[in-house]
Amino acid sequence: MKRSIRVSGPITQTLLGCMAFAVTLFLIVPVLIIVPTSFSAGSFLAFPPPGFSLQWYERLLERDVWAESAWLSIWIALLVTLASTVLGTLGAFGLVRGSFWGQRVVLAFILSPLIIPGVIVAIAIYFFYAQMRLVGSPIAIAIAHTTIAVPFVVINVSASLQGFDRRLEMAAQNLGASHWDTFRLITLPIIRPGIFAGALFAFISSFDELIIALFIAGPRQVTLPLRMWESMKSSLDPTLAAISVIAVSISVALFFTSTWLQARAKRRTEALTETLVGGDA
Amino acid sequence: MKSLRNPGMLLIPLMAFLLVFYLLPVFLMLLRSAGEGWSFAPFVAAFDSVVTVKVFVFTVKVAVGVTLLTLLLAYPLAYFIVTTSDRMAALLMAIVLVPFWTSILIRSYAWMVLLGRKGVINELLTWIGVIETPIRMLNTTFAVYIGMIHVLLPFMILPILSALKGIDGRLVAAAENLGAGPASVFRHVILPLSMPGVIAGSVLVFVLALGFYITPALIGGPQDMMISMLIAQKVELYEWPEASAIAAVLLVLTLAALALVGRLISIEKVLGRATG
Amino acid sequence: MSTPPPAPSISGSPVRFEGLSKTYGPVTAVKPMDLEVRAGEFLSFLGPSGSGKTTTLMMLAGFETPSTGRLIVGDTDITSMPPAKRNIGMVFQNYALFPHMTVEQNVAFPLRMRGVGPAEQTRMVAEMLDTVGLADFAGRFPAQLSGGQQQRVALARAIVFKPPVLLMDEPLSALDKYLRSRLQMEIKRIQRDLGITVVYVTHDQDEAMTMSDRICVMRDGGIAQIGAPETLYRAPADEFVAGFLGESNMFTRPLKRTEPGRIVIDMARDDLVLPVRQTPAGTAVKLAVRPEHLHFHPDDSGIATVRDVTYVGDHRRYELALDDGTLLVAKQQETDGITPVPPGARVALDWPAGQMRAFADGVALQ
Repeated sequence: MKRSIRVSGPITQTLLGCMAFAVTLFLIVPVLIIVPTSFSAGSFLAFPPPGFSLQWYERLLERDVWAESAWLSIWIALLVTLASTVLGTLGAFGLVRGSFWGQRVVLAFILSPLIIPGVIVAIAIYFFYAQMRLVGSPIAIAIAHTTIAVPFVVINVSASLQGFDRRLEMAAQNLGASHWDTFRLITLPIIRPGIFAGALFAFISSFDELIIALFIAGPRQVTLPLRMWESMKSSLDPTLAAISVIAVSISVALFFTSTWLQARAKRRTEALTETLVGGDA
Repeated sequence: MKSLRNPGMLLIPLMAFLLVFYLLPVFLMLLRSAGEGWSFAPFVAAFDSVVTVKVFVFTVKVAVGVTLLTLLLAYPLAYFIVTTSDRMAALLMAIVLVPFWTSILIRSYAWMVLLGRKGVINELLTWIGVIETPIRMLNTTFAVYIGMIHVLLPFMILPILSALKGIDGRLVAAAENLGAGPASVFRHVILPLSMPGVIAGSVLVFVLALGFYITPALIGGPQDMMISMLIAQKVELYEWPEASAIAAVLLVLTLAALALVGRLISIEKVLGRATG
Repeated sequence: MSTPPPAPSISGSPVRFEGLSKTYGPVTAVKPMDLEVRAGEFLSFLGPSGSGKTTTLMMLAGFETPSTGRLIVGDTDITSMPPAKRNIGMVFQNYALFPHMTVEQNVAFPLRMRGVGPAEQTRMVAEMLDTVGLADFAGRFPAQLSGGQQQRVALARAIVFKPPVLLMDEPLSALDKYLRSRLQMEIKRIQRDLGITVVYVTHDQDEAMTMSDRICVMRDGGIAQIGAPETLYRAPADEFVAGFLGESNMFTRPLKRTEPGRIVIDMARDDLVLPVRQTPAGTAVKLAVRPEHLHFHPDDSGIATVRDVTYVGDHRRYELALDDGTLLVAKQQETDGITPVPPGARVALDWPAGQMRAFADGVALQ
């Protein structure tokens, strides 16, 4: 068993625990507070709460604009997921398996859209699109979103490729598998959780993206985040809470699915290494 | 994969895509900021204004403040996660990660609901009777700090956590065996060994804070204008060269902060941990 | 374990290395080597890490391309054949079992790749799992097996398609000592039943001695000596082999004189005459004697002092010091009438001329 680095006595540890509790509360409460807001009977959240009602969800269904925006965002996000998963998976193979000069620089470049301020990326693309007359098409938004979604795929697929034991591929070939069969039957199934996680985060990153859309979407491409942004600037309508609750639920569900999938895959390989290192029972 | 002579070739589609739709646009933007005939007039125009300078000073001040406050909150939490039971650690990790994958927009909205004049906190305090009239919290610099810390906290927690997890517990046992008390063990063993995580987290948070847009725009006041908002404003006013110039400076500032520590790559580890 | 059913028979093929070598730029990993592994033979490559044994195996499996030379299995030149076409079984170090497939699917994999029909696959896999004693584990995933069971799955997978040659790359190095010796015997039994040619790589000399028909000792990318275990143990060709296989006392003594066909060595109190094939040029030779061959008896006028005695169970281990400081190890069988010699006692040594090897410039003289 791994030895703990704990040096704190019971009192310090309790204090630390209280602090940890406060910080996690600070992290989670704002996310949770929108749930009761979305079910409020009043037009604002008041104390004591005025009562339970589904009116804001009903209003969401009544108003086509929200559904339209949601569909647009889903479409764009699906396109982005497809493009970034293909480009990112190939790229991760190139990065992990290839050997060439400047590998680290290439990796830094691919990941840079995650750190460089969103506004810079957004206006650079906006100016470029304006010159190319590309502003105002869902495809254009999808292309721009792919730039910021691809790093998630590269990170996740690279991680599973780095943990991948190349001897499995050698074994498959030794047993008579062609290169294609080796990829299809051995490599792909084993790194699939990584690809899946990457695709998931690619989807979410596009679905939630606002800044780029803010600049390059035309008046007819009001993505969901754009509509929420517009709505937020005018009023604190709990319709927003309702849509947020739906969006957060989907994200959280996807997040836990992916975590679970990865944990399962990890358990398999880790247990395998453990029996090898730990000897026989 | 097929037995490619060099699997590095598989990067070509991605690199081609990024060169055309990412690097080229950024390059053209930088070119635009240079002005006609390399006069650099846009820079002069942009930075001749008091507003621009004020916005830069304010942004850096907020970024530094947010970094320090985040560090102050993140370190104890990370340390607690590492030293507590596995179940508790898993629960805390989930709580750290869930907001991480909730959109910034929704989280800003949540703060609007909480901090507004008729928001949850004011309503609650009035109901209890602590205050008579609502306190103004939304659209203040305070709100900007709160909102940004909320978004950036996981970026500080994860690298510190990863550094703390990497410390060999036997080192602590050895230090104790050699006569060091808890405080000295922490000061001389744990703290120095977790420094890479602290540095990586701080740089990451600082850099991300520099470019914040949505949170300050929604929950800050008119006086809380950050660089990104100024750039957006200039674009809306069709002052594209000036916007490009300011963006160029922000980009250089960002890259300089990263280069200073040479840890651009560590983001891979941070986000790898968050996503995997 | 109950008596396992006999394994289905395979006829092994001979393997020929003709001037096979591997260089990486300026570095030579394997010097040109010529070697014939006989059909059905168990041949081990034994050597320290970096001696080129694994590179040789990888060339045989097709994962490394030889820089020069040819590889022939049976009548087929496989030098430039891709790994998938070679039809050579291989057990990898740490097994390389596919973690996402069950034991059954792992073992069926090579059959599937060869287009064997499903019914036939099931039959052959069942038969094979029976042979390695894992019939009850067909549905498990590798992670749910112990290390020894994983090893057996790897073996089953490597021989289910009846390859004429089986390669094993340190297959037992991850297992504990007890399990290792059990599996050594089991692998040996299956190999004998099958009649398959085995090329085995190990750095463990005991393992090589126990299992092999012949051992090829490798050093610095070349063959140091090749022969039956007994030959290598009794008549090592050079100092390296003598030191690498089993324990040896090595020490240098001055030459008194050389005569045609024999040398006379100064052993302090008496002279030692050894027959040699060639007479050395220098004035001293290096001698090697195994601890179990070095006998002694208490004698106050002897040439050595007992430094230390260790009880090891079936024997006692003595550390003896000559007056010039040379330390020798002797093993004394533990039998009833024996009284141990206490530390500090003077002893006389009985040099076992027939069991001693003399080397000059590292090469055996006899």
